[in-house]
Amino acid sequence: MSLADQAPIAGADSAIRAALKESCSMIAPTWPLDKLIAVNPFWELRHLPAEDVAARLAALGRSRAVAPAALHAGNAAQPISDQQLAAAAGAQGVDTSAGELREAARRTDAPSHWHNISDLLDSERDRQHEMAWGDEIIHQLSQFCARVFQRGGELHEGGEPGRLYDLWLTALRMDRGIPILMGTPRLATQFEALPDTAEELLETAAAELALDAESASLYAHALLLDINGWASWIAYLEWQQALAGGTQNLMSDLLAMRMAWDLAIWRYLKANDEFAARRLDRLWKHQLATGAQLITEHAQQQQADWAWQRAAEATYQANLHQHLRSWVRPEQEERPMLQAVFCIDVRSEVMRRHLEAQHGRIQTIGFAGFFGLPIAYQPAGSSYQRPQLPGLLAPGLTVTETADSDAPARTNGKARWDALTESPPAMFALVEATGPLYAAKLLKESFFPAQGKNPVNGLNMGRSLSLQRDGQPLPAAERITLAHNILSAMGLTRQFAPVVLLTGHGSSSRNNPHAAGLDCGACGGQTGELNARVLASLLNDEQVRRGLSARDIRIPADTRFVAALHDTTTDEIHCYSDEPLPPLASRWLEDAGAAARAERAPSLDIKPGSRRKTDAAIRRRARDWSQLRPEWGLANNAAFIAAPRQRTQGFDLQGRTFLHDYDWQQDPDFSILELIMTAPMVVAQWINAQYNASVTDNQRYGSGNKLLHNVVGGNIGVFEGNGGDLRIGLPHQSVHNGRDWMHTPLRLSAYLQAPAEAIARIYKAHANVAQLVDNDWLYLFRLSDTGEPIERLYQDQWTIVPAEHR
Amino acid sequence: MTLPLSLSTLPVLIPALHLLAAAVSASRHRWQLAFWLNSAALGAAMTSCIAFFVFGADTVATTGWISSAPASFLLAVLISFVGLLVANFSRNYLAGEAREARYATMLHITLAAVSVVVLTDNLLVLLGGWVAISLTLNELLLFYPDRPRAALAAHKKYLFARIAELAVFGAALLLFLEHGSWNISTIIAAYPVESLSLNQQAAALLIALAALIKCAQLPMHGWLIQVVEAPTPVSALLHAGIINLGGYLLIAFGPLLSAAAPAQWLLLIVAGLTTVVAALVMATRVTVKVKLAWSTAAQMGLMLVECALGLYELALLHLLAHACYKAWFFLTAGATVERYLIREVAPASQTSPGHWLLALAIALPVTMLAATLLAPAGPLSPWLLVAALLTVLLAERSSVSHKAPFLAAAALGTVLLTAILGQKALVAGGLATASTFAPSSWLSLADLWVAALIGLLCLGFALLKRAPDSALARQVSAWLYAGLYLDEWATRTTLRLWPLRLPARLNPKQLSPITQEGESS
Repeated sequence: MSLADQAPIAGADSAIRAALKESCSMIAPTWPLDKLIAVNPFWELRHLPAEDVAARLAALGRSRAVAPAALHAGNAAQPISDQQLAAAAGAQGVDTSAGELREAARRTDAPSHWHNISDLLDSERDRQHEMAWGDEIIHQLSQFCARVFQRGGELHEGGEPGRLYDLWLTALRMDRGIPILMGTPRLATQFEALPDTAEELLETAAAELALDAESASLYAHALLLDINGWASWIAYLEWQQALAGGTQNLMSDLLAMRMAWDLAIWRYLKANDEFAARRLDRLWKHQLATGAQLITEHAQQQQADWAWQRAAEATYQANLHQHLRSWVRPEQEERPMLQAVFCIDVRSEVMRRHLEAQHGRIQTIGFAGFFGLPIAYQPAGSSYQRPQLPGLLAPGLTVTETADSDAPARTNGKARWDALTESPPAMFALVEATGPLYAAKLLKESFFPAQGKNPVNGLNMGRSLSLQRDGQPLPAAERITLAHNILSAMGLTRQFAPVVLLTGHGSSSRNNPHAAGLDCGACGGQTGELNARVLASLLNDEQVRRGLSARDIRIPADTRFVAALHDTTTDEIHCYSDEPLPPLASRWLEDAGAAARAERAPSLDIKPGSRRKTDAAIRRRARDWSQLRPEWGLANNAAFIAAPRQRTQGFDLQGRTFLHDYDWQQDPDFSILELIMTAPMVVAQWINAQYNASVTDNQRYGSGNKLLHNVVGGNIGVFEGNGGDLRIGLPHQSVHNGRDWMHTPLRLSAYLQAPAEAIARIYKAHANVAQLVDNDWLYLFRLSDTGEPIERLYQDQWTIVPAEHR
Repeated sequence: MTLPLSLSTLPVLIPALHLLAAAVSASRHRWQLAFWLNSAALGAAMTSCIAFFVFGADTVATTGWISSAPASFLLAVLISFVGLLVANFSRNYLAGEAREARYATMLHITLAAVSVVVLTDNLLVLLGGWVAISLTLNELLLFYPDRPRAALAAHKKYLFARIAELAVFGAALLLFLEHGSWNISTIIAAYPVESLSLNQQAAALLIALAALIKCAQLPMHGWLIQVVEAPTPVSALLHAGIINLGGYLLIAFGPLLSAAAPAQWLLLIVAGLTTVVAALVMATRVTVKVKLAWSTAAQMGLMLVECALGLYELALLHLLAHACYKAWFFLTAGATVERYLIREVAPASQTSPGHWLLALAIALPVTMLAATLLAPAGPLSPWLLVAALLTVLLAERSSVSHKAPFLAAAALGTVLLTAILGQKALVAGGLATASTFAPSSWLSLADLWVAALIGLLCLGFALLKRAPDSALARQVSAWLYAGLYLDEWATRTTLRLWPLRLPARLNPKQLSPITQEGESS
């Protein structure tokens, strides 16, 4: 996200200003918990090579953007051969033998790291008697941010929207706690002396800390990494502003706040301990001069890690390529008995495979789970709006209920009761009145738990939905166009089965702050139920069907679109339809679900047993309020394939691939391919990068231990325990089963079955795509129609992937 | 009779079964076996409780060993109930943790120790149990020993716990000197007396002090807020089954306390102020577990105030109800986002001062009428809180999109009021001691003090709610958000008096060798 074009910092060196501004655009956003979607934490660094980014983050923030070699070396699930290692070292451009790499995987030494002023002070502080500056600074900034952002990020104080820095400085100057806690009574005078505006602060600090453009860039980035969680939240606010067409300068304010801390304690030291200040000054100047060198050292240190990373990826790809090569285009088939559209989510692959196995005339289709509907849901009688589309986009349409219900009354009752429990005058007597009620609730939840339900999803109650723009129903012509575009993008324009399931997906877990992260990311972290129901009613509409047939999509009269929801926790498919499904179809769905559950059961530590036992164990898990690992989400995702389903059908892809149906022969202008490469493929990369980073550095890019999670501001995010920075990314328990990582970090391998020129043209036209490919954030492969060859596009070159990789 | 004979062993079984659960947990993660043992403990607790109330105290109590106080048996049921549920919750919650077995052991030893404390008649045994709780709890709070803030919180807790133990020991010693017995039942049988001796006054003060410390009253509250650094079920157990032991102590020594005005005033001042301040701080905090912790400090404050006012049945009701209430809210802390969504979908409608005055004009007379009719003896100030509940209920009954009928809110209010009166009567019947203490001359002053505190609470609430942007509100809110900086003083003093080696920061940065050279030069 770009910063606001703010008023120029008077007098400051423009190069330094530019460097600071650039650093402010290096943090990726994090979405709030109720709309939690996966984000590539390195998205704002995609213009740099992955290896440079990893070295930079390691040197500046002690972060890990690449898995330690030991992780891949110790991964029993995917052993890596010496040949793969040697080949990877070659591709890496380093002259290291496989044996040396195996030795390197046992090494634990690390080069030194960048030290902020607070870090330098802490390295000398008497830690037995005193709190660390680093902890205290993060605590102060974090508690302040939690307080001002609790109302969804609006900075209202005194009725006037204020600048973050100004509010913070006022709060800091009022704070009596820090000088007490740190035993530095005279620190307060330094707070008073801090410049009154963020711009002045940055300018003053740059001068006093002797920064030049290069060191300013490193220092600013290191400071923001120090408070990366809140920086990510601010990046989200700026992202939303940008979607709405506005700008804000929150990030530079946050940077100024963090830098003000360094400046204040630096000045404090100068004023109170001349000897220590001189020594600190020497250390600091030395670091400023050698900052870039630190990054180089880390880059060298990480060479072995990258070789292992490449080798692991090549090993996975080699297996996948074997499947993808052995393919013959099947004959034209007869009309399917059942079609089911699923989300491209990796969890759909398991279900699709088992559903297809039920009968030869079942066809499944992979498509982004929001079904191309750019909607937000607004429950009738409420001003609350919830986007149901990917975070990259802004909703253009609203969906709301047409009929009234008692939902507002029920919700009001629950909301007021909840408010009562937090109301200072009311809560005392409330406790005395309701002891038995809560005792009963404890018993029920412990021994007779019910299925969880997102409170907003519960509002609809199956009532019919209306598609609106600006409060008016969408005109028929637009609905027809919408339906036409969606069916074309799905590749579903002929051969309609009598029953077409539009299957969104959602999870079921209880008591889980990160529940939305298990739901459909394409639907903005919600279940896909609403999108499926809107599309089904659109496509069942007679008027729309007439309009479609005028545009050459003829849906047979006996074809019925049925909205459905794939519960990824229990692998059940719920259908939302007035008429029941044909009995045969129902049985297929049930049996496919059971097969999918049986496949997943071992990974959930459920002992092999009868179908009934397995099913019961999995359902119990979904309802268990103490279950921290209801399902594995998208763990172990590794590849994205846009091709006709026949290309991958029949292979066990182990729930690791995003499958998007795409037939380039139906896409004469390659507009659908362009859409796939710029939206679903990028979304898949975000998910992939989030899982990878949550494994490689769960401290900074994962949200840590669920046992300690403490929700901040209702929906902003979590703290781990009492405080510290806001935590982003996936919890440790979401990627680790207590013994092993459940996600092997592999960069996404994307496969497109399309002509090379079309792919290359789109890649060149979109900087995002080119950056992801050329800077080693993802592998881009092309599948040819005949199976051979598989080619890789990298830095504007096509290379044929040799067939015998092992 | 053989029946009472066999029953009298039941109370001993309760801690024994929890201890056995601890023993089986030590070797392997045998949660299922521990579950049955905990269930058996709950069964034993419920049976003894029923026996106590149906067949009489003598069937289960043994002078010198097993308490003959009704509160003991009610609390034993509570502890085993909460313990069973918390252990059952921990089973899946802790799955995959490296130190799961140790956790299970410590959890069950804690349960055994708490049962001993509430069930014993012997002050020295009580003290032993009390020490055991703080030692095992320390282990649970430090389940992740490498977290600096957890270590700091546990350290503070450790020091406060030692002071509380010394206080209890001092009180026990004084009472032994006075009455020649370590048995609670023997000691309290000596009351009421004409006037208390210096020893007795001192003992009462020490007991009050121990209760204040145990219940995390200001300024010794910091650790309670910071131990959200421990796994969620530990918090649930702490807030539901351990923090309230201070209240149990006061209820057990009620006959002594009721005659000791200095101790009562110590409680009224410290716990009274804590109630107001902690409740308002809670309203300013933004993380779910910290809100809950402040709320506990406030609720415990009120419980102690109720003890000081001589309302032991209300204090006991508060203790039992709060335990279930807070266990629920801690264990469902993960559902905070759902609660947030409900409030987002149905935000409260705007209310005018008129709304509030009208609600108050209805709630206050109704409550006071009910209070004077149904509970004529005793102080009136606690009923102000009931009136406050009904006022909020009536005033804030609608959301922006749904106007709730007045009658619906009034009906719910009636149900709540009836629930309080009914349960209070039930507990009072069980205690059979509640109204034996006639209000003494100073009580009206105490009543006024508490009423004034409640007024302050409501004023503070009104200020933060109605004029959040005024200069005064901003100032007050900043101070409240910081917890009046009381804990910073406590922490600083603690570290000065008794330093602690804090664990190194997670993943410390590596100083460059050249820089290190520079440092040593």
